[in-house]
Amino acid sequence: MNRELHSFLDGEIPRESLPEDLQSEAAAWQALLEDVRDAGSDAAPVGLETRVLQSVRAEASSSAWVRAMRWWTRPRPLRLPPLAGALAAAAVVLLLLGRQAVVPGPGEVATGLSGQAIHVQFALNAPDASTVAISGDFTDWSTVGLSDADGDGVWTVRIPVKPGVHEYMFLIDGTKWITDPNAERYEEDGYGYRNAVVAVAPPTAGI
Amino acid sequence: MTGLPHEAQRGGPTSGPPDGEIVRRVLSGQPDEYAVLVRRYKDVLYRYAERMMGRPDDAEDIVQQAFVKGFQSLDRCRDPEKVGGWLFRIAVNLCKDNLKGRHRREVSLDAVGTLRAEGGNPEVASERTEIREEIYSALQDLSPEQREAFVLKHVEGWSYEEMSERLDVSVSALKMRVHRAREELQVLLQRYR
Repeated sequence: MNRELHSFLDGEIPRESLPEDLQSEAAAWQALLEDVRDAGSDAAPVGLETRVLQSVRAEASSSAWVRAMRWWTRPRPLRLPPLAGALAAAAVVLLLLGRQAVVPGPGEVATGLSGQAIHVQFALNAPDASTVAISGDFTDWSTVGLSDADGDGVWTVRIPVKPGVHEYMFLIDGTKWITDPNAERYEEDGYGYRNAVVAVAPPTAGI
Repeated sequence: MTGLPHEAQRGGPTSGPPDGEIVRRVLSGQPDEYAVLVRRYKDVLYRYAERMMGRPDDAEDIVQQAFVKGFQSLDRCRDPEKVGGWLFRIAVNLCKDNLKGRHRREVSLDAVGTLRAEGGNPEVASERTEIREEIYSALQDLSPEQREAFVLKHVEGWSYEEMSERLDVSVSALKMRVHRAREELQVLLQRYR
């Protein structure tokens, strides 16, 4: 197939610029593509919207309960300093003995001890960018701006991040999502993006 | 801005609150508002899924799965103003996953049976239906990658740059897929010369 014809069909050149012997071929292609657009349905069948909404409503009503169950049953590896481990064990013993003791839930334990936030520096070399921001699960996927104070094209930011494995992306000029090329590892998000992953270890100092 | 380049001409949102506002309402505890997004984007998702899958039942499943998956993960939509494009992308990936391992030419002509009615001469209408059957079968003979690129280019009217951004495939690779798809479909041209 002629390259000029491809260029025309790609919208790169107008039909008038095609040589005479390709004009009828171009017209045939236009008619064919018109039929391709018409072949098949132009709208979803009647009833599909209702079925979709039923599925979504079922999901909405179950998801709160399912999320709660997952939260309670999900195993959570906790790395505690020796003293904190001893205190946690003592708390469990107190609870088993029936004393009135306040035992924090899993999330509270993680936040109070091993979950102490650590400042992590993120950097991206983007000399042509006007703005760079980072968005990750540790920012609830809202964006936090990076700065390039010395104008060397390397943008940085320090963000408090709790220990654990976190996913993030960079956003350049407010429009272009970039995966950190220097990330420790990557995770497909299921929607065509590849998130960068950072693992943050808990502080090692004992209590 | 909704993230779908041509939805305005083909059944996209024309009135009502912007997509970003709808997403915020759903995430702030009004799940029923999600119905607005379903109404806005069911047609464009279905149109694509039907041409990709070749069977109306499969296309309906894809649309249903895409909206449920979108609802489950709505808080991960990075740009709520472009939620339409995000949902479309979920449907694209679902089609891709479902087509893996499927044998070619598993196409149901039921799809062609739902064609819009032709007015006027019954003979002309019959011939048109025949042509469309041929087109539908020929589309299903393309590889899923070629079909995806061809449908996005020539049915949805996306530019190569838009396709590249959304599919994470280079412009040159997409052009190659569309060009090869055209080569494959050339056999259909005989009727138009």
